[in-house]
Amino acid sequence: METKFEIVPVPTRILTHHDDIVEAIVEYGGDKIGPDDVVCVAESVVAITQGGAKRSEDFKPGLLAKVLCRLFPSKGSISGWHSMQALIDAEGGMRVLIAVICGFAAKCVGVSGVFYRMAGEQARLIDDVTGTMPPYDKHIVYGPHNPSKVAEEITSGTGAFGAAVADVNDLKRSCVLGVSKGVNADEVAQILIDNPFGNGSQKTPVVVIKNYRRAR
Amino acid sequence: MLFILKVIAALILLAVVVIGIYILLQGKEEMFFEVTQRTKARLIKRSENKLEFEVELPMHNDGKEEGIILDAFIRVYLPQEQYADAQLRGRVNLKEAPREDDYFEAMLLGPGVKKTMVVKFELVPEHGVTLKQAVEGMPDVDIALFLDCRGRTALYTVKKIITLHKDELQALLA
Repeated sequence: METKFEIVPVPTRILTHHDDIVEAIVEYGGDKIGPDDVVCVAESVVAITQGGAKRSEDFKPGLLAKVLCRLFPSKGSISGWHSMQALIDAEGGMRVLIAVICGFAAKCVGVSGVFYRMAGEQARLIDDVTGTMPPYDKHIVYGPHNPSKVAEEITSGTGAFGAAVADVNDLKRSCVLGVSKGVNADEVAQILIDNPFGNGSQKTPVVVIKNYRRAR
Repeated sequence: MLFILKVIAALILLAVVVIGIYILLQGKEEMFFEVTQRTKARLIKRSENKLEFEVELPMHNDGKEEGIILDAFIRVYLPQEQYADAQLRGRVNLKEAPREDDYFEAMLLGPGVKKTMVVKFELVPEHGVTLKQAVEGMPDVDIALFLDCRGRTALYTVKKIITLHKDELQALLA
């Protein structure tokens, strides 16, 4: 008989920069995780537990941030002084400047996305204020640092088959930022396409894909 | 060679001018918090030892860019030296997203968007007086409404004054 996988959301308390993501997953989902399962965790929660949430006033926007942010649509995450400075602090001013110039040139010939490919990983991961649920609604939140290493740590800490750090939303956009060995990132992204994490108020930043290994 | 350098310099200068004009034309957020257009105090709940009431005030963004209200809170300017027989406290929320706690969730206010702030108050009598005595003795009270704001540019704080008149408070007991 064909084995099917099952998606099990794991509710947790609001996780903060005082928490360790592996310990939290074991605390709330330890009894749901088995050796054939893949543990998926929302990228913003991993970033927050790594200390990747900063207040606007923690940044000192320079001239480069003040100018470059204006070249992006106002609804974008790096359209403000502080969020652009957050990107510059993470990836370097010269890198971001070159990415802007190249991105603009590419846009002139109809090619999109060049800026985000050149400006570094944080360019598309940074969430400006109001992008995360309380108490991090007033924070600029980076993307997680070294997500594949985090996935490996989750795997060894929980006894699961594997783990993934995912960026998923309700608009059928699903992207896996890091996986542990043996897990197929594209496959997991497709499994998570309907956003089983729910929205922030549902407090389910962890999802277990049951029987992943046997269902492949 | 010199000609090429001059052309490059001219192009850079042109880019700086164009970008500068582009940024100037973008504009900024212009948020208004209309304390003078607030509603009269409206009774929420009254018990033997507590009076809960609220006022609403409109806010809107007349600018070209999205505004952000990061936080909102009040300070009641009623020191014990002035009047000690009542403790007046309050919190600020968005009417469209009511909360029961003391937290103000950061919000966006888009260009042309209008919303409503709600300031909820609790008045508690002190020193053994009754609620009626506490309210009847209240003076006119100034309340400072603070809002931490941001747009695409600098962080700033807006301070507005709401005045609660004594007859407005006494009308809540009627």
